[in-house]
Amino acid sequence: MEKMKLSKINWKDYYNQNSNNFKLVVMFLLSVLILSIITGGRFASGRQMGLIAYLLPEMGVLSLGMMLAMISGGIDLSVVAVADLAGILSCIFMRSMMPADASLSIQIAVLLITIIFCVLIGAVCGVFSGFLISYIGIPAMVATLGSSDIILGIAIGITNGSSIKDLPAILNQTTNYRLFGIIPSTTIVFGICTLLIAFLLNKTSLGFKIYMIGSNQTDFRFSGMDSRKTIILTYMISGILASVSGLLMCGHFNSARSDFGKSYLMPAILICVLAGVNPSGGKGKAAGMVLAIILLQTLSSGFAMFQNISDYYKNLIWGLVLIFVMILNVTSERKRAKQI
Amino acid sequence: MKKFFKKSEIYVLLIIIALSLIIQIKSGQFFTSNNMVDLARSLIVPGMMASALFMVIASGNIDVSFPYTAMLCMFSVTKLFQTWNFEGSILWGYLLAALIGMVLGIINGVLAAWLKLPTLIITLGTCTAYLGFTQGVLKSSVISVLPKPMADMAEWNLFSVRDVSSGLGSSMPVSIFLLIFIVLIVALIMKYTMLGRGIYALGGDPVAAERVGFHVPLIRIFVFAFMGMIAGITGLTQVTLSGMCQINFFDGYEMTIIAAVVLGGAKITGGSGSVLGTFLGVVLMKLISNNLILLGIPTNWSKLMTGVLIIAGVFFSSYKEILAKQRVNSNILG
Repeated sequence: MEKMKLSKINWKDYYNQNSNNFKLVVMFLLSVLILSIITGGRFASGRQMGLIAYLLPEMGVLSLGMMLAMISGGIDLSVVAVADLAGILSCIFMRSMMPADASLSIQIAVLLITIIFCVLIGAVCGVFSGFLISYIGIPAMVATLGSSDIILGIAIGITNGSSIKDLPAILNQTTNYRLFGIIPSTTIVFGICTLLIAFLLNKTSLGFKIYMIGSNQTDFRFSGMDSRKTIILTYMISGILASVSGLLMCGHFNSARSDFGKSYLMPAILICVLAGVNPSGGKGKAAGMVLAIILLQTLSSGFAMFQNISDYYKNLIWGLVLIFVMILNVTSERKRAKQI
Repeated sequence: MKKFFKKSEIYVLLIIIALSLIIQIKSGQFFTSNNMVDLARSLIVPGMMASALFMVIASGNIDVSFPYTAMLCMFSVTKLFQTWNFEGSILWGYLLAALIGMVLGIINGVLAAWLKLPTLIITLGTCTAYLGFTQGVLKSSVISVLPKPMADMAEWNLFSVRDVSSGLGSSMPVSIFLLIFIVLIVALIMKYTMLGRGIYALGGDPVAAERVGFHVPLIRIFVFAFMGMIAGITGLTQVTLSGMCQINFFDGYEMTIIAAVVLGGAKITGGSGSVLGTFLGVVLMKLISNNLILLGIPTNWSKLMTGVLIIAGVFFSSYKEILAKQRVNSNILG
């Protein structure tokens, strides 16, 4: 008897802690249900789900970086620019490194070196933003706005605004590869990134510090810790994730261009807010991110199935959804605060 | 004199003078009559937006939805005029645009005052909705034949100049008076009214502003409504300046204008800055983007220049502040 009561309480606690995630699951199931009823079962097909899984990772990896910056109480507007620059530079790098008619093992080796190169670029860009924020004291928004212009400016300057084509086939082959014929390799990359970030946030001291900075930066400093290093590391990881996303984009489109990521900034922020990340910092979980991304991608490919809804309405609906979710989050939080 | 040099406006002014001298020396085409008129002409739209945005930023908020507000107003007014076959005064158009813009701005303001979330994210949400509305509901992309009142306005110039050596001509549109008018209004509000003091106070410290007795939510709503109104007017002005409606007129404007305001010495966290500084910031931005070619730099690098300018503009003031903070901390702790 005693035990049952306890477990009941635990369930309630668990629900309270993860209520946002439960809401997302319910919303996801509802939208899948409604969409499959409207489309007469076409939506729930395996092919459609495969498409969703294939399109989701670029967006997802980018949003993970945005989430880290938001949890630390800032915002990273430069993710898109970092993704573009990293994609362009690593495509140039890869094209010049790849010997003609190389064997498979050499191709894979070059790909691995390119990935390391790409991650390095992302890290450098992230450290730059982080340095401006922490050591110079520029507010995160202005700092990442400026660094975004600089990074994107370099990308445009290098390419003259045109796209880089004729990439080695290995990149596109890798991103199109499906494990056991079903699971796209990009989804696996996304899964690994999510697991790493979840581990970082929940199990490491760095993750703990990121949450603490977001909750109260003054307290953090007065407890004798160096917030500057943590902020730099946060933006570095955000930059690395953005660069991975950039490489995935290049693999997907089989080319690189300075305006590929342009349309991704707004959805990335939308996903974070949807996932329950508090824009003022200190709150947010990787699990919520996964659910929010799946939900958003489901909705977006659901819309794509209706030819008569123009692509433009998608913007209207996403904007309204973002506002609606914010209103919902704030009102429910205020109600909870009143109860306590 | 010492106070004079402490103002950040003076540095922006010095940079502007130095830059124009460099351009003049390198190309010899800067101080020509048509280049000056072109510069003034290109200042109108960003100048109007920046002075309103300065008010929002001074109140500690941020608005990224104003280019989309301008776009929505521009298209809806033009479409309405077309369907009505309206032939009256252009003033009605400005009034209508201001009204629509104000409603959109009030939506932003109410959301910001009610939710108390970072306004960047709120206005990102509304701006996507406005963009979707313009593209989806109004089905707009290009309107090349304007209704008569706007077409007339587009032709109405104060004077035209022609540079003798290069043969290039430019004309000064009447809308320049709108710019002057709006800059003056913002300056008056910010400097001489209680409302203006309230905006600065809100930007400095919202809690303190509330304790002093300012009605914080109302001030918030006012700044966003004003921003929306000016954005609406600006949208219509852009139409009369270019003689057509195009969906990509204001692409990337939000970041450029924010950058100009920040360059002009307004702190992004609010509570400081001046209209004069903002205006100089706009001049500097336009000076660079218009004259990179005269300097011999390919236009592809203009984005990089903007970024460098933003960072450079806030670098020293932020660094000074962080040093001061460290000194205070070390005094307390040590």
